Amino acid sequence: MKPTENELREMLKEALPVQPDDAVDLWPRMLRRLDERSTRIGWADRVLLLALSLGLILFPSIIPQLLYQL
Amino acid sequence: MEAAAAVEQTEDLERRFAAGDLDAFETLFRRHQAEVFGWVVRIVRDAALAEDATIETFWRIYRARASFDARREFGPWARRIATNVAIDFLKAKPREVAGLDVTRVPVAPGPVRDQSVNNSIRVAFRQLPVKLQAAASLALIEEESNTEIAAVLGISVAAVKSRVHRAVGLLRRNLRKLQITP
Repeated sequence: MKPTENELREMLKEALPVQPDDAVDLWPRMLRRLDERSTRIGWADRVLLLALSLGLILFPSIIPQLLYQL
Repeated sequence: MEAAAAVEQTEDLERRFAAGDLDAFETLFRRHQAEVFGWVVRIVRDAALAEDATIETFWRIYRARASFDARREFGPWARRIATNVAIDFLKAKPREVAGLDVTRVPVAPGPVRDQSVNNSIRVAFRQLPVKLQAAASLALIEEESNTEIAAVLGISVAAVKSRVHRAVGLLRRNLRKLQITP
């Protein structure tokens, strides 16, 4: 026998109850998440760093010029 | 007068949030955390997963702060983002959602037969495509209006009706396979 839509509703409500909100303060976890992300180096920065390193290895003569600019 | 001042205060808070003020974000987080958690848990039906989804929702909110229009309400905007996050979590962690696998569900106190029937119903429900689960959860279990569901899912009311209809049909089929009758 096919369950009616109302019977389905009741079956689902009983089988899948929602857990009550126990008012956990999630802000500390949120802060950790924000810190993790802000200290992570982005892929664009990694590419720039790699390009700079390669440039210095392949053309070491630019090192004195760079130091002079600093 | 007081109501107008409160509205102005909220608008100022949301403007500061959009400008990247962390204190304003914390205030909004604390103000809306319970609401976002309450919404997400109704879709994923698992408290631990809903906590993770709440954090992810606010992370996406924080990242999108520059695009937040302070003339719009924060709550409905957050709810739409939370709905997308909940659906993403159901897609990403389908087997970790409570009740998916009958053999992994701890037996709670109560009649054994009822518990096993409930487990089978959960299995039948979790076998639905994720988008149908979200629509069915909100429409059938939470009895939200089709208009509200359409707004948070970003689809038309007709599409909501169609998803719920398909969900009911598939649920009936899954329950029949599991030999579950009302």
